[in-house]
Amino acid sequence: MRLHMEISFMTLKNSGIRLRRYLYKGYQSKTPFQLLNQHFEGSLRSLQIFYGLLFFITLKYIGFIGLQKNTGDLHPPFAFSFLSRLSPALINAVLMVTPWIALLCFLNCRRQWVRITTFVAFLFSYAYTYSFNQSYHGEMIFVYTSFAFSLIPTWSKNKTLFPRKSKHLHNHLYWFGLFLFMLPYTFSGLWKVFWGMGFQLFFDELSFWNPSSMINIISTYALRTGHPAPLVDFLMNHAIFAYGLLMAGIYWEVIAILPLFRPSHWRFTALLLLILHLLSIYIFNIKFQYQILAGLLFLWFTTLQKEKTNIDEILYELPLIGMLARKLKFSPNLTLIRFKKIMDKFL
Amino acid sequence: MKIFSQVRLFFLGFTLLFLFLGSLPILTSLNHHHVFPFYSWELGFGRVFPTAKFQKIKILEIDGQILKEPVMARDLLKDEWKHTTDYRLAQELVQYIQQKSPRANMAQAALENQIFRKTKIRTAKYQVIETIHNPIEFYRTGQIIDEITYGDFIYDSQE
Repeated sequence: MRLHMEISFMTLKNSGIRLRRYLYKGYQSKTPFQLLNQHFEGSLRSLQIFYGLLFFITLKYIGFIGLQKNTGDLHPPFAFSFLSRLSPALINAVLMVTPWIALLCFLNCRRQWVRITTFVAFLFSYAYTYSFNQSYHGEMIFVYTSFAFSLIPTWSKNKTLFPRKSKHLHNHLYWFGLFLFMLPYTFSGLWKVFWGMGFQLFFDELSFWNPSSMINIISTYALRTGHPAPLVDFLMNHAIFAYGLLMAGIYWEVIAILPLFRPSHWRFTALLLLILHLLSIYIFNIKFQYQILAGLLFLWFTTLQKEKTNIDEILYELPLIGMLARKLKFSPNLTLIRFKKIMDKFL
Repeated sequence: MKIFSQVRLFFLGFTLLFLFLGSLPILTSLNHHHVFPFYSWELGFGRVFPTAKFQKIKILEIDGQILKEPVMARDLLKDEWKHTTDYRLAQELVQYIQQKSPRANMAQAALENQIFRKTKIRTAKYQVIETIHNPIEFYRTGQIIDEITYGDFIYDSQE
């Protein structure tokens, strides 16, 4: 038993080393120390931009002051329900102060207590304002990421004073923020597959495995919102195309967490994230504009991007699609060359 | 970056915690607001309904004047949530009426606050309607399978 445990532990350790080697594979020209500094300085910059973005997001909470007077207090979050009975003025004060705390954090995100205060105020305001029959989760991911960033300890103004260990810790916690940013995408994909299979197999109900499922969902959303989005008419007449989009969306959502372990994929992932959210706007009228900005900030303008990215490599490394591409020996470059040859014959 | 050796268990723990919290609304059959902000991220895309229900608020009378044609509540609203506010409120109310829950009164008060107080209407007579249809058929031809009316409600701001 003990031997078995030791062997399994060794396997885990080796897999960690292998993965770490894989992570560094793209950076032949830089030493790990240079990379550490590069990532550290880049993350400081993007943290500050993140809190600047948070300031603009939280500005609208001022407009929600006095919400409990105008609307019935039907579903307050269970943790805050006692507060509305205690003092409505307290809630208004928090809503008023939240954006200015975020602005303070943008100006001085070095201090940990400022980041913790921002996280608590933001969580309160967000949970409270969207509990009055207005479910909106466009800002939910910001709650998670600001939680992760609030764990980062206060850093010194003088960058030369930094020990290597604290830089490592800083980078890990920054990476944890990105992890919480991508995790809900994976979960939403996994729940779709899980419930889809469950409904189909055990309850004998229709799920997303049905080819007409996407146009069913599109028409339901168009009815709810009352004004169909620009792509609705086209997709209702091309059901198979719509179903392909749904399948691609679910596939990307399930594997969304994987690119975090491969920095060479980050820009490609940012592009896919942008396409996913743009399509959700033009098909369902579901707007996640802040998430697009945060995705571009974390994944496109990153300092951890591999120096040279090749679309062939990315395609081969994707699960399932990569396996198929390898078997079919598909290469975009080769296809382009073939396409050019064919075009040359015609022209 | 020693991600996998140092904080691997921490991330694994967090993933399991989130999975557990995500499943809470389903396990406990609670409304997702009760376990906010950890509700399901599925957004209903996994399941397809061949017969869908759609709730609407039909207003028959405003400030003592009987309307020639009934007006939908969403046409009166001007805020950014107008396209889903009336639907969500009506859905909530119908759900509590069907369950014979005392929360139906609260849901009705919330509905009236959100629609009539915002639009500064003093008195109104309205109906909550539920249509049953196939969404694809309804989008293409406007065909309805059934329509249920949940009573005549009267709103008075002075009450």
